[in-house]
Amino acid sequence: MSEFLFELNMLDSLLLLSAVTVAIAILCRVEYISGGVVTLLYLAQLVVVGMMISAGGVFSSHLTPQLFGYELGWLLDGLGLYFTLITVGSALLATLYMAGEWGRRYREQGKSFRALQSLLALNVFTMQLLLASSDLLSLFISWELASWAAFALMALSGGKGLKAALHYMIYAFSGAMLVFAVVAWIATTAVTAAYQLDINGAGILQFSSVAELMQQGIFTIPEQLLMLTLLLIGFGIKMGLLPFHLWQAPAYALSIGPAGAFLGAISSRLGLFAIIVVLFKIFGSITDGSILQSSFGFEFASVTPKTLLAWIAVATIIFPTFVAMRQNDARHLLAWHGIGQGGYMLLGLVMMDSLGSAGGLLHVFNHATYQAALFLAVTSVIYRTGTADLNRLGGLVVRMPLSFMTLLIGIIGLAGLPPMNGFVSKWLVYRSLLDQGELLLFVGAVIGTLGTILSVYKLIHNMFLGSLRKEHEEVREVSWSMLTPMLILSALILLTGLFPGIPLQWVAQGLSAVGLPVAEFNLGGVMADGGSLDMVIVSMVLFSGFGVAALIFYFVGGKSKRVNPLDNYAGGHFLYASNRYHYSNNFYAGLMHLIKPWYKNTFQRLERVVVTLLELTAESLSRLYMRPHSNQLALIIVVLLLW
Amino acid sequence: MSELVKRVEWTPLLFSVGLGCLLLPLFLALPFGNSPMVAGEMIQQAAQGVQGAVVDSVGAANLVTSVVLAYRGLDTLGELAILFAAATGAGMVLQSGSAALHQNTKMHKHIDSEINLGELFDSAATMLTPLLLLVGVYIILHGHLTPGGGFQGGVVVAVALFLPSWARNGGGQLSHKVISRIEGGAGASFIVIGLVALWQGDPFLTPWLAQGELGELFSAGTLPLLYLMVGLKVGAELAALLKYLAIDEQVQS
Amino acid sequence: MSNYLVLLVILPLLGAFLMQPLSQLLGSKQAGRKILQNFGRAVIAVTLTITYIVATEGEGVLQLPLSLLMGGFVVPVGINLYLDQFSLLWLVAIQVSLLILWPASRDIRQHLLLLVVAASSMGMALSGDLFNIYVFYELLAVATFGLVAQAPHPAAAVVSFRYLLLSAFGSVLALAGIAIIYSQSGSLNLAHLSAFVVNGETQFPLAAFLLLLVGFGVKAELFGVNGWVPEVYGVVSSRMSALLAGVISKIAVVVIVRIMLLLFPYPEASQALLVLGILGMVGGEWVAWHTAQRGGKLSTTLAYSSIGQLGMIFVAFSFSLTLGLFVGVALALHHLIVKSGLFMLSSAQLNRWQLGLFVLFGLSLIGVPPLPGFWIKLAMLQDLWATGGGLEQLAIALFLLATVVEASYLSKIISTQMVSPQFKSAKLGGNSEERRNLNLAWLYGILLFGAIFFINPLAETLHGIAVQTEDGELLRSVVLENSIDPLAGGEQ
Repeated sequence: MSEFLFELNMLDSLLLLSAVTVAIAILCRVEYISGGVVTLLYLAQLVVVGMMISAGGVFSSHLTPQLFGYELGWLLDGLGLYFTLITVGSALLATLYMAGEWGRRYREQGKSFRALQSLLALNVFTMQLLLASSDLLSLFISWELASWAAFALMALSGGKGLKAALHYMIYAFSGAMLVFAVVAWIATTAVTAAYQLDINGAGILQFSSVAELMQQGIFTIPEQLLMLTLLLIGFGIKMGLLPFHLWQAPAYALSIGPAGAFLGAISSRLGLFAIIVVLFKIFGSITDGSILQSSFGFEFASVTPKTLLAWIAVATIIFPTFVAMRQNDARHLLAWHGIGQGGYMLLGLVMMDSLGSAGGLLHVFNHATYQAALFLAVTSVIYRTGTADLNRLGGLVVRMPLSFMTLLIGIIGLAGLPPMNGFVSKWLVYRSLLDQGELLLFVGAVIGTLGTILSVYKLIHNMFLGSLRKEHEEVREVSWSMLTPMLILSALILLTGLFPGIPLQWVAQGLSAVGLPVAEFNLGGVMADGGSLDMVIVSMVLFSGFGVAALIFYFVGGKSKRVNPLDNYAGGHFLYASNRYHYSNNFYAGLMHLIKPWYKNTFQRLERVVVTLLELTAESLSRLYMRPHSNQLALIIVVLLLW
Repeated sequence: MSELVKRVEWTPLLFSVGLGCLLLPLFLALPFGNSPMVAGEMIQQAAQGVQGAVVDSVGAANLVTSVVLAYRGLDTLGELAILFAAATGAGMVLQSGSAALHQNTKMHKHIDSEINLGELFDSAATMLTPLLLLVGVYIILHGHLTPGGGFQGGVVVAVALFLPSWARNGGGQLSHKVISRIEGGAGASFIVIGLVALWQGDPFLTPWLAQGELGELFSAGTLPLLYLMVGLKVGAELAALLKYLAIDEQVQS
Repeated sequence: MSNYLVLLVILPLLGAFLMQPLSQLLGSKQAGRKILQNFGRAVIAVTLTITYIVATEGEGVLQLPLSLLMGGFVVPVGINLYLDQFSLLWLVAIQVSLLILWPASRDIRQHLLLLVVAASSMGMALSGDLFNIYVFYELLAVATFGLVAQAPHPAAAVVSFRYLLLSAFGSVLALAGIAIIYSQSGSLNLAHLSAFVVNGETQFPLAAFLLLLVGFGVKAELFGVNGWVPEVYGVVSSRMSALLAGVISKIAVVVIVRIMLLLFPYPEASQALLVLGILGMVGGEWVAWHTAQRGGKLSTTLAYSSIGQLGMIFVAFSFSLTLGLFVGVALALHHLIVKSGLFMLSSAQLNRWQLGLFVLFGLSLIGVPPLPGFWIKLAMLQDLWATGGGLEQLAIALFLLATVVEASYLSKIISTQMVSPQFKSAKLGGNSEERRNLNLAWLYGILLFGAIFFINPLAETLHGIAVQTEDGELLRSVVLENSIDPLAGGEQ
């Protein structure tokens, strides 16, 4: 037995640990202990991942089952490790949040804490399987498992959340079927090729073998394009790429608090991971003659798949961000932003140079941190006030200052302003766009950032700033069990903003695993030919500016006094508590008035069309069965006999 | 006449007729071909006692019987079972419920006494019943010699069994118990006769018993026995079926 | 000893014949009634034992198939029964399903008709003679008419009658097909006819195949003649539905496939199967979705789903000529287990554990790894792709779309169930019969779940079965060997 344990390398231990976490989450009936135990287990997992990252290199699992004539295998390289780190980290923080008071109240409401924990652990496990897959079949199997696990987690909230989860499931399953078609296609062709070349067909679906087959030209260019399209659609659905994004916002928004934080942080990024694997590992897009850069010309312009993808990414940035602006529910707002940020990631990666791809990949980490932070902060507000409706909140800064700080830091990160980490990844992407001369894309990305800044300001303003409502007078800050993860995240956002070199190391490992060019990263940022960024300096400049202002405010200059917000008068009247002097309803009324005609609900209409088509065919087919048509039968016979 | 025009649904009728006209030439065009009489020749050779015939002769003068009961005995068993299943099913529908099963015998007496089909029918029934019975049994027993056999004779026997219960003073209810015992027993006997061959180490339904002389009543081995069982079963079944239908009519009217 | 194989058909028939006299003898006493209730199952248990004995005799059927002559008469004059791995598989499936799904009814005639069903379906699986198959098919049909008419539903008799009409129509067509074949060859024996085809003397016309297809296709829920399915399934009890959809339809499919492989081994026949399969698949799944959207009865949705699944099975068998029977057989077996389980769960409102079981069945149906349904789907897609035709590619696209539609309506059903009050409680609801049905579903669930861990050996076994079945030479040599030696006792 000890020999067996000895045989376990780190990947095996990670997977085993993960499986144990699932088992304990399911089996542990003592609910107030399970929260703590599970958190510790996640911590252990994080430690293992950390060890793997610092060790560098590739870890392959000893688990290689032979199923149905195919050999499956699991292997973690730099890219997978990067995503696994984020996954386990998000899970750890989410569970930490749940472990204390939040979990207690959840149980008091009669809901199953055990189910929540188990599903979360299951999600982590299946995601790890996905991130460590090394051949097409294990990729697909773990993809399906992860999708269904995510569905279960979303469905747990019941009611509208269940409906949103079902909506997700249809999208995800359709996408999975597209991927399945391609996998079967490749499998059939590969097996035949292996047979002809007289090599062992069992490992034929490994990424490396498939890449070789692609290079040997087993598939013609149009076939490759078709495959690529199907795969991109299939994986892009999970990622929330336009036009398949309609499911994501309600599904994440309506899921249970900390679960929403986890899902929003990392779940959809798995689609990105799969796309990276497909684009770079299988189709070998780095090389010049690759499919991604091959152009198929029209008369007036030639379009490459790369350009197309870049534009889809930009569309994904712009549209959901402006939809977010219209949202009145904090969670929906954040969820729509989540979709938009995915566009940045894809945009950076599609540029395929050292800065852009680093920016795209780094954005995954950054986004996870502030999305989790924001979601947790909003969940805390919901916990205390019972609502996330932006038209019903206000002035909570005085009651929940630490939550406010978390939200503030998260927002600055989301908007991509220094000194937070969001700024770094966005800068890298912009730099890459400018370097490659893609001015239109650059403008598109900037519009997205503008929209982000506007809508997150609405978020913080409506929630925390302004005047406190009467019903929220008694609200207090949340307990330490819930504050801890939020503060950890805030610190993380700040630290990785100041010293982006730390996450950039991990990014570098991920990029080199895939074959993308890596730039020189230092602690403060990057030194590249096109330009350099040193966050330490930037932040110092920023803080010195604040520092000067603080100096002036606190020490020099006039005295300040604390006043009650109602100690004021306007228009000749004193202020009354019963009136609200907080402008929050219909925020951005002017802007909305301007851009309202542009909201055409196009994508929803598209979706409606597809569904209606389905319904129409179903209806007409059912007529076939409804009434007994003897004439029909005779007709059939005639047809058959003529055949 | 005008009522007829109104009551009949013309559109579907015309459509069906048209379709039928379309189907007919199509059916005729089907490649039915001229069949090579492979099996037929084999049987004839066997029957004529040609040396080296592929199949064995069974000793029945009526070749049809030899096919039905010997060469294709399993098919016949299947057909028997079909009739049985159909009768049972029909019985289920007509009786709708096993409670009626027990009341059946009681209903008999009640209903029968109310039937009055007239003197003519009563006397005719009394005279015809033994005649029908005799003819039926004759057809059954001579199935291996002359055209006829269990199925045909069984139908006649069925009528013979059923007729008296319609006549007022003919007496004799058709007891359900007896009917089902005959039915079950006959069917079982058919199978048992086949099973005996199995016991003897031969395949199922191999004819045993001496073949005797061609054309004699006691010839062709077990074939007459099989036909007897068939006849009894069919007779009992159809009689019961007629009874159900009759009662059903009575109950409804 | 191998002669006793015929008892599989004969014993249930004997039991059926004797049942009514027996019920009169024993019916009055308590003990007697108990005997009668379990009589049917006892008979099947006996036949199962006989199956085992015959199959493992000598080298066993796994090595060499067995051909028995009825009455010792040589083919093509006589009838033969043919036992190979393929028929063995279906025999076992029939008997085990019957044992599990035998209803606990007080009406002796139900038991009786079920014994007839047993005999006829096993006869169909075993028989090597075309007309004999037809006779058993008719027997099966008539027995099911009776069973459907007896269903506990006010419209049962009417539904049964419509079913009867459709089935009779199909039977006429099948008979016409048989007539064509007979008139062109003079023989009715499958092996004999197959020899005709292989020696290049005759190619039986496509019309004959189509007639046979439509005729036998009634039971197999083929497109065009499956109008009876939603009506009948909406009326009969859950166990009957499970039997009809799960087992009986498969036997019909299996018969059609055997006929196609032996008598019509040319691409047009396969294409017919493909086209009708696609139509059935699309029609079935789409209308199932439609029914679920409108909030129709679960049994109706499952009925349409069954049509769709059988369409998929037909598609899977359409490439059996070139790529083998493996996928078709696997899909058929999978459907047998899953559908029976689903029908068992349709009897009453489900609590959360049972709903979980429903989810399990649903997931395997749409093919989520690591359940067996996924592997079968993978194999099916690969084989369809390998065939390469345009129609096959359309089939792939439609097949995948159909699975999405399946996922949609299955999830609709599940979410509807989740809102019902029964869901919250962990207790079992419904009356005792319904509870037993729900418990039986667990059997199927365990079978399905267990199969996950035995994917490789199961695949190998099925491959073996497929390979042996595709070997037409083997069949011909085993069966026709006997036509040279007269009355050699009928065994190899």
